[in-house]
Amino acid sequence: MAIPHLPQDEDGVARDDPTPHAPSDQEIIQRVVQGDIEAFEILVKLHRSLVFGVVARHVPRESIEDVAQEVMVRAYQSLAGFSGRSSFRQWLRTIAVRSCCDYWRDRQRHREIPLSTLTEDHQTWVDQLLTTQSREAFHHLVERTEAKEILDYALERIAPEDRLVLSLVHVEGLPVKEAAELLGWSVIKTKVKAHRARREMRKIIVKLIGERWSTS
Amino acid sequence: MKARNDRIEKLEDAFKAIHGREGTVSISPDWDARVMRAVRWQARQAVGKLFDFEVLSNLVWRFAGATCLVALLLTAYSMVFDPGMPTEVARAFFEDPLAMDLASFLEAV
Repeated sequence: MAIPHLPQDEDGVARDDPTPHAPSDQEIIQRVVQGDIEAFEILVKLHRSLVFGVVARHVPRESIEDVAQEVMVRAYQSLAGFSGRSSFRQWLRTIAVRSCCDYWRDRQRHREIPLSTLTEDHQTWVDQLLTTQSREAFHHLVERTEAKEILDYALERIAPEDRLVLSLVHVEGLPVKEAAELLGWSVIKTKVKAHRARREMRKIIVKLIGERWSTS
Repeated sequence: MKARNDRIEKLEDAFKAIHGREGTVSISPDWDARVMRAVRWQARQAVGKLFDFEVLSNLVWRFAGATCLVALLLTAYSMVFDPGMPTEVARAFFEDPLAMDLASFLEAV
């Protein structure tokens, strides 16, 4: 009878399960809370994609790594208070969203860089977007650098909390309840803020569209 | 009005599409190491803070209310159940208990 080939470890002992037991988030958290700081690196490696995924949507490219680092450090500082009621990932996501909000608040408080302005190229982009009929041309326009600059221009003119709620509810399409949990607000406050933020954004869009488009 | 709203919605759609592209980013190879350096630094700070004056003073103020309450209750208790206590308390206020103790100590020696 042929003996099936089993994977062996360094001692030459055959193992049924080639994948070692991966500790759960809760087990790792327990180790970190008990003083094993190095175990936190496992959490960093496991969840960094999630953190970068959230942060990259809400802060400028040049600040993503710093804000993501801030998220992880905050998570470490608050780890003892993690109750486990929600999953660790959800908890981390909440910290990430709130850190992004803090980033914009801080930036607005210490504003050194003046608000961006629009050039003739941006106005041309708006005109092209409004006249285009095909989906293909629309996607092509969205890929252009001016597109991102115009979005930044619009978002810069909205209060930090409003831009976050606008992004979460109206752009990412999250349910109000989920956005409220992420921001640590009540559902009512989230609804009101989201509505106001959208109204603000529409005002900015109307300005972007300009007189020649708004009258026709 | 409808044409205007259509244009606004078109720009809103464009913003959604632009925002949707933002989720992907490459992570520097040393990012994990930087995070762990910051975490270790935080851990060292936390140990240092145990002996921090600010932390100690916070601790004092946190228990100040409870301590005052206990002192008041004890005073009230001794005034009610030990009739000699008010006199003792008054003496402690007006006399110098340390000098008195030293005198009695010297006397005893």
